[in-house]
Amino acid sequence: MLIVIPKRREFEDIKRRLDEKLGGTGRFFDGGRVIIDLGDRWASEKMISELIDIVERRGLTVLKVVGPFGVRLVGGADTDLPSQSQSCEPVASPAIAAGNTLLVKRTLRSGQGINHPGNVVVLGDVNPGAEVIAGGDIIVMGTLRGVAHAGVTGNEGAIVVALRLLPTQLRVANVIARAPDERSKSPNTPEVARIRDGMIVIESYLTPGGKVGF
Amino acid sequence: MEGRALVITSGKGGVGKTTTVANLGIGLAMLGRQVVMVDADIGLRNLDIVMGLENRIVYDIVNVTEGKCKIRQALIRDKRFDNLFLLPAAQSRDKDAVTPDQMKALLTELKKEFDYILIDCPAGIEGGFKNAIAGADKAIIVTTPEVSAVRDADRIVGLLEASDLPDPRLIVNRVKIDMVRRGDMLDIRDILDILSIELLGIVPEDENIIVSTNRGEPVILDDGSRASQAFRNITRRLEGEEVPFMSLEPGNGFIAFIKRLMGLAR
Repeated sequence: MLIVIPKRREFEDIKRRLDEKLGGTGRFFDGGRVIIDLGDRWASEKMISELIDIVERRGLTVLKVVGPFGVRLVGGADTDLPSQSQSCEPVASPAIAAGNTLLVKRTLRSGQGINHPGNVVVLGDVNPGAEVIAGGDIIVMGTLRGVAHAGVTGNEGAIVVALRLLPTQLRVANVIARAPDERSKSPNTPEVARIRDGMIVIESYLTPGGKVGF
Repeated sequence: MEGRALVITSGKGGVGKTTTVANLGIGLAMLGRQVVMVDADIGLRNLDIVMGLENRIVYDIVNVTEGKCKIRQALIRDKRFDNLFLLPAAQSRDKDAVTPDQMKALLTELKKEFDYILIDCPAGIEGGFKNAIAGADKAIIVTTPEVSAVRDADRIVGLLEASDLPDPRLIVNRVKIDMVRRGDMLDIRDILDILSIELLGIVPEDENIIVSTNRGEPVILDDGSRASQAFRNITRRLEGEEVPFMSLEPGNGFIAFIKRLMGLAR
């Protein structure tokens, strides 16, 4: 069962309604397994654990919580999220093939981060100190100044595209590239970063003819 | 011999803790010491930017304490000095992500390999401060010649005493020379009178600091600047050398200046 948390409602109100809804069904959902979808609503650790509490008190099991931070597997889940500290077999994750794309409709500021197993599209900027980690591609419809890690589970075909590509650091699969120490000029046009010959290269997203470059 | 862990703290924000850590780190590295700078300001990490090393961060202090990586993997070697390292803070976590016990364990490891561990403490006196001072051997307090900064420094001295870190040393930062000359600045002697701790250095206000901070090139690398000379003197004092407090007024002699600074000149 998927529980979608509405975006523009007071958190206390959400808690009350969720509890009412689940309570009103008697033992109909007992033993059910639940995914909580926060959409792009931000929730603190405390809020998330409160939601899980409400659901589990009604005899259901929470499998995972999906939110702007990506996907969080809750207790009893068999695997950890792919993390940059583990190097996994380079396989395209099924999520990518299925087009599991997270749309982030805001600017990511310093200290904020996205971790998503599929592709990530940011409709805003990624500021320095912010981090986007994706199993698939990363597309920033704005300026990418922070850190982006595409293909985190080892997908070397992943790309990073931004309208202005000025990252502090770029990672694709297990390859890392960092910004030059001297301030360098960047063209005011969209660029794409990808692995070529084991190195991350940045190319214009548009060919001279104005056609899309890949 | 085991290394020394020095925590640089202030209570008040914006007085120059991070700048001081960066400059003393480079200064000690220039003297050939093995130095590591630990950014304990978790959630508001800055030291990497001041050092110009932001683009090299892969792992941070929280990854280390959580066991996600080894200390070696998280240490960033400075681009100018082979014997200087940075352990960056985590930007997306909060101050409780590292506990005092984890901090102590971390410092014990670092002390085996480094002569100096400089810890950049967050502003404030709450959890972040307590974590940052855990395991430190000595404290250095940075203040500016303002009543509010000195008041906060005094609070810190008291808290350090209560935490078994007695006898901190003081750096008075951002001293404006022409204001001292006019007698408009809080007297260094008055500051020492209130705090009654040992003076480690006086750093003049220097516009070069802003330029160097934004460029990620700490001012101590710039031979000509006064702040650079002040920081170099402080590193030598840390090494146990007797270095007279420098003249901040060219051609006027430092004795006269110090006297004026101390309010002794009639």
